[in-house]
Amino acid sequence: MINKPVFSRISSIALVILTSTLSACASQATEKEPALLPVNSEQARAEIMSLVSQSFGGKNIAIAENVFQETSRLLIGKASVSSPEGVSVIRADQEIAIVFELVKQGENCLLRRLNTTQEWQLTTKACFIAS
Amino acid sequence: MKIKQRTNTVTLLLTLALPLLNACGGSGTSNNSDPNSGFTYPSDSTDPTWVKDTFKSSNNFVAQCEAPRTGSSPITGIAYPDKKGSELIEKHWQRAFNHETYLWYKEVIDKDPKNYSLVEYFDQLKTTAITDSGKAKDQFHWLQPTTEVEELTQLGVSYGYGISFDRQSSSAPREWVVQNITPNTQAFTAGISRGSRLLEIDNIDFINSNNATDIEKINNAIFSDVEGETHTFKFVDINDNEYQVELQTAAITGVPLQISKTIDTPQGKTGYLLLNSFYNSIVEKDLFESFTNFGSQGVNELIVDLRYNGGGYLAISSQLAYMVAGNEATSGKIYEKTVYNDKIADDTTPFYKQTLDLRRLIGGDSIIQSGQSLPTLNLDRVYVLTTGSSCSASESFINSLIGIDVEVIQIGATTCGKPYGFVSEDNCGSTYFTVQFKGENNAGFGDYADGLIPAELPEAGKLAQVQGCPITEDYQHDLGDEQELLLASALYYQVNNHCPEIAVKSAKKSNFSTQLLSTEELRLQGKTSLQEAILRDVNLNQYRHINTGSNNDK
Repeated sequence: MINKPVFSRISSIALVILTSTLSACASQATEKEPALLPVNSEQARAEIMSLVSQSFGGKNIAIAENVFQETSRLLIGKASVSSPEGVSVIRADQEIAIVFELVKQGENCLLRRLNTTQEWQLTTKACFIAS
Repeated sequence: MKIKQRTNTVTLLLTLALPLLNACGGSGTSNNSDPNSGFTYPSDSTDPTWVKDTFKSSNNFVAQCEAPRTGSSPITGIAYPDKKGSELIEKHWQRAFNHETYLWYKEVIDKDPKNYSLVEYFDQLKTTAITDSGKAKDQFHWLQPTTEVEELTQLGVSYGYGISFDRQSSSAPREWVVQNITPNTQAFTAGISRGSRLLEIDNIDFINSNNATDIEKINNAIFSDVEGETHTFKFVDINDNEYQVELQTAAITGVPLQISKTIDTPQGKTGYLLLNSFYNSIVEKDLFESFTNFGSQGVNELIVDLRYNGGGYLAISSQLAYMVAGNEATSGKIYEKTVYNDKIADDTTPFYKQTLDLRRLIGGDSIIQSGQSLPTLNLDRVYVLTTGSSCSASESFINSLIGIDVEVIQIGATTCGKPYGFVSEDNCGSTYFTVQFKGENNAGFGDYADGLIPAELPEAGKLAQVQGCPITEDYQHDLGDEQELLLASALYYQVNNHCPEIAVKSAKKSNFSTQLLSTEELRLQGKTSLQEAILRDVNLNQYRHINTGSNNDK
């Protein structure tokens, strides 16, 4: 038998520990930090290409082989077009990029599209927080 | 951009106006005239009628489509605003939109839309003026399906092989010559050499094939966007040695600043930059570091190689010009004035004197601390190497320096001639391109639709003629090699203050070996018709796809 005051004290301590732990978990759960991929992340890149394509209704989009290896942001823009005379034209409205960001949340690597609420958890766990 | 703001305002007004129009309702037989414009709708239709030289706002016609789209844009996720209308209303939108935004709208002859198809009507909504050379003043007026225009890519990345061709002829007998190889690509590693001519693709005769199946296979290989797809390319190099390589289609990351180095000359250290694009925000950092290095090495002459630079961010070309000319030469002066038609206020681009961290401004990570003073060389003369592929912001760089009295020596071929710009506009599934502004330098000059023309003796009053040497590159040496024709010519000019004479030494197939001649040889040589032909042919470089007009380096 545990007497009541002792039980009460243990309960209080447990509550404090539990609260602290939950608080820490909650903090960790919401914290998303810009992340990078290690070299040789072919599988992660393939998954990212698929998700980015899906985000744009299935469009085939060229994405660099070292995506997210040097920067945590992926900038997507309209490809240049050509005038009837064949001159490549860069339009003033091409200057604004659509941005995807790789973030680390706990153990997970997430890809998110910044101008929307779209967010995907990647299969890979190998991403690391960008310094 | 003012036009963009105006467009957003138009969209907002339209959103507000449509419910009001709907609320007015009625049978369509009453209240169908616009007292402000005298515009009258026929009583039995919602189609407008045309009254010569009387224009309504494009708001009245926008998104009223013959075939309205449903769903949302895959890019923005925003629902298409299209409602049932007619092709005639779409043409009235073209007419109104063009009248509002077209730079030369006063030169358009107003015609009744009902007599034209959608494409034909827009095609004639432009000036018919011609340039000094006899070509149309407006070469940038067209429409195409919005789905085509909405192709997306990671900025600075495109599918291909990393080979840039001079497409001298895209119909049989075809003549494609390797101009440049993107570093860090399979093509680079495989040793494909500048000046090589393409002979075969996947064992199909590239030069002479004419049947549709073969042409389709060639196009599918050259313009493949299927990553990892393997194709075989056979070339012959400048020494007539044939070689074959297997290349896989890949996402190629462009290298905007391909070469940055110094060359020791009798005049001291000369800086050399091979700058292939202003449309890549990382180049801001690259240029900052190059000029810092040039400054520390005491560079006193500079050669900027823009021969394959099709343009990009004006801000970066402005920074480059500032780093060349320095604070004193640019103080109180503008880099470029953006001139719209008389309905829209002009705008100016300054000489940017500090880092902008442009990559961060367009949404990316920071790559350079903003607000740092740019390094400067304070030069009063700069050499610029050009071809017909030097376009837009590259031309602004030249013109803007001339506008502040920096001496520009242009070596190479005439530039593409695009002092113009536009914000493309979508309506009913078509995207419209119409020239909306032009760039002028500090001295007020911007009329170079025929390109900026290197001339040994520029004619008085011909401001598009730039002091320099009209020379066509020959692909006999690597880019950045001091023997390479354009670079060698610039170095020659530095010493002699005039252009070298250039002789055609031999003609192997279509590759012409050229070299600078000694003073003794100079007296014996004149310009040949062959050279004249090459000078003209360089402009064909603009035509790429062997069937159609696709325009991406592969």
